[in-house]
Amino acid sequence: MTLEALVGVRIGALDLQATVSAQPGELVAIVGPNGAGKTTLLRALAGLVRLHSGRVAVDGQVIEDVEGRISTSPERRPIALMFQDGLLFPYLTATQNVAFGLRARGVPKRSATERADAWLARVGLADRGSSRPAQLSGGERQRVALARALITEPRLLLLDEPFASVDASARVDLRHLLRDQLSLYSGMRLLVTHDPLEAMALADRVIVLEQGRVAQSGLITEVTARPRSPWVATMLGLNLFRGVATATGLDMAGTTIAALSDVRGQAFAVVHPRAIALHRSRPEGSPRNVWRGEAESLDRDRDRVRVSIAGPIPVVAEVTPAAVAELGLGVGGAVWVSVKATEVQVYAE
Amino acid sequence: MTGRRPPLLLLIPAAGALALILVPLAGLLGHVPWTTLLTQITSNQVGSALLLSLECSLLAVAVALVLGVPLAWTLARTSFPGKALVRALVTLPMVLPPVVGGVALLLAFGAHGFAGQALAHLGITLPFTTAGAVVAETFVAMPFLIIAVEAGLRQADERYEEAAATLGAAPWMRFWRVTLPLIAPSLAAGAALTWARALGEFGATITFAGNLPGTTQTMPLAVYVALESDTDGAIALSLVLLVVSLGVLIGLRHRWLGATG
Amino acid sequence: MSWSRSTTSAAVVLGALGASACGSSSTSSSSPSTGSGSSATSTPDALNGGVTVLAAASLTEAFKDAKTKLEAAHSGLTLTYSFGGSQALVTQVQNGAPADVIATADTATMQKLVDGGLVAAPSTFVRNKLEMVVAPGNPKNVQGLADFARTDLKVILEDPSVPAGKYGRQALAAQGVTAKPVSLPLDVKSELLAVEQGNADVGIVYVTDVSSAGSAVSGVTVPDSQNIVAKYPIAVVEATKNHGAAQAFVDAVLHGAGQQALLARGFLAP
Repeated sequence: MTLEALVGVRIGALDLQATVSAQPGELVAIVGPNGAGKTTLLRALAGLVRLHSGRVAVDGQVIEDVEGRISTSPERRPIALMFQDGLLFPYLTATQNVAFGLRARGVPKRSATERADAWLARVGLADRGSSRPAQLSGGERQRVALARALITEPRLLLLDEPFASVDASARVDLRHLLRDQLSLYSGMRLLVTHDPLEAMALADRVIVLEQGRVAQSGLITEVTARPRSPWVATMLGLNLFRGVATATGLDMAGTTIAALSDVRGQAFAVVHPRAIALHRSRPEGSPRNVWRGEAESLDRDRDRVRVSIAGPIPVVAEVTPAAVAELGLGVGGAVWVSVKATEVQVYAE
Repeated sequence: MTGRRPPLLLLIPAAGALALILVPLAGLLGHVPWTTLLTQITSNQVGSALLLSLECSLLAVAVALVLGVPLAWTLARTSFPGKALVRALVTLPMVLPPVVGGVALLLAFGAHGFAGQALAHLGITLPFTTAGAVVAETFVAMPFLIIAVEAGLRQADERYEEAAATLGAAPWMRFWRVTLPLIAPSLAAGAALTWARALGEFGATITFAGNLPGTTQTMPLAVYVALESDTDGAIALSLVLLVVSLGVLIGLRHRWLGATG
Repeated sequence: MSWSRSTTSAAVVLGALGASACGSSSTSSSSPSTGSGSSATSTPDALNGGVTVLAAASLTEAFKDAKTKLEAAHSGLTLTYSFGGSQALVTQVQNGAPADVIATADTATMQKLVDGGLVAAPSTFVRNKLEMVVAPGNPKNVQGLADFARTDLKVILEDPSVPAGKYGRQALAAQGVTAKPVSLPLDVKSELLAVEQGNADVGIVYVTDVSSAGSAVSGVTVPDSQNIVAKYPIAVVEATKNHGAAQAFVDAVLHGAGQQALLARGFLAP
């Protein structure tokens, strides 16, 4: 079981061109900023948006091919979509909602109801079958939506921001439930989220979508270690630089950050904020990268303070509150920055 | 929901609005010939006019539902050239004096009308028949249904239909099991308005379907005829029409609109 | 009130659509000479100011002709008409409608106003006879009232509550003819439209109705021996604020330019 899709869609300002693939049992997260085309990608796979170009194949069966003039209507695709806000039918009970897909496939009412109730029990809502969506909490609604999507045993399950409409307290429970249920499900799964942490918690592989294009894709560990887009780096809290790798370091239009690397040519470099040292005056000693900057903002994040520093190379540093006090650092204050060349990770583009 | 007290600035015109409706009603009730009322309203003619009115108005609602809901759906969910014009044309029977509507129907569906001649080949005659009364009432009342249902469809979230599609529901099932239940309140309100309008229809009916007791003489026509000779009788008939329609509308409200407040 | 208004609008619309010969302009061009001649009888011009007249719908064309003539001859006169069913007009006067003159199509309705002391003694100003109305050229070959019993004809009769309907039934009953009408319209114009559009084959209306419908329909004469003559009464409304002008209008309808206009439209002299 595989998904092979090349999705080309143009809607308004969005020009989506993305290649997506998934293997059986795999959960692929699609992350990216708002407006990147994540939801449109799912809707195109589900058949709710027509492709302008490309093709979609599930298990080798072509369900849409623009050149081959093949297009399968949504109800005939082996694909289920769990919508961001659940979209439970408000006039049906939880059981009737879950049974909907079976009834649509002609399963008799009685057996559809029995199977729906069994599914509600699986998602921990055995006693809520006769409740209407308005009587359920946000988390409960998403559980019903999950049961409704999985009961038809789709070969591909699309999840669009399943936690977005759930408050933080219920999110952890729902995430556990989702992980448990998805582990029992043998099909392929695509999860859309704007939260990389959520992706890391659930996904095997990640596709980063920015402005309609795949900016990066790969295993979670790969992407977190070697981000290839400013958005990913920012979401992970890393400093990302792009330039030309030379014998001395990474050259960024005249400014060079020193590094030890065999990589040559177009390359990225990443520096962890904790690897950046701040000083009251110009530091003595070994660091190869030293420059003077100005603190732009200071943000307390648990036991650390993230300091954005403007200068020849803009960076974010992460230091302890004690260090901030010792430096007497405030917004607009001058500060010396130093980074060891060994802390600069360079990798080819 | 909450027992909020409205500001005086709203309360005064609100009371005025209610008075405008209730004062003429009181005028009617003040002249009801209570002593002869029973004999007036149990006469054969009243019975047949009332039955005919109910039959015609309910059939008009049925026709309006079967034809009007698909048109409302088309207006709300599709785009085609000239849609604004079509939407304006749909509301035409509401602004057209009903008598003119009746004349228009007569000119089109009459024995010399192009549609009437076509129907005659099928053995169908509309003018001066009960079917004609249904057509006249539908013509005048259907816009109320179309407007209410179209508004309901515009407000309904189309993504529910998409959700149904991804769950395997084909277009007809989506319409039947998702779209219609979603707009049920608009549908019920539209049908009730349509029925009320059809029940009170006078001008188009008398012009197109004529005025023949038992065949096309509905209650409003019977009231009008009675007014020519016997004011007491007319008032008695009006009272019957009023009580029946009020009863049905209140009943519908409880049954369909959830009786809020 | 909405009822009476809808009949008026019905009459106007149906008149405009149904009758092709509504041309009052041809008669109005010759009106000034006859108009001034008749007004000379009432030397100090009493026909002055605003006069509101409630009139039976069948008088519409003739009264409009009269308005053209009278207003041309009396520069200070403004005539306002409200046409409707006779009973509706009576109800309006009973409920205090601000009218100066009322003219109905039968004496029974007018009598209600006399009984109520709402009008002064009415005078008959014209008479009208019944005539059978058929499609142009009489394709169904209607010969007389006896044909109303034919089963191959779609018969239409006005409702008995309307004068023409009442008299039509009386005429048929006198000949022992039983008719099964397809509809009982409440005004002449609806009946004419039904015949004109082929939805009915034969009906009974006034001779004036046939002549005002022009070529849209044909008439078949009802012999005088079988005919019923309707008397149209006119009266000044007691509550009028312009009694002199109201009486002068009644006089013009009885003897002057108004009477001429009525005769020109086929009404019979009283």
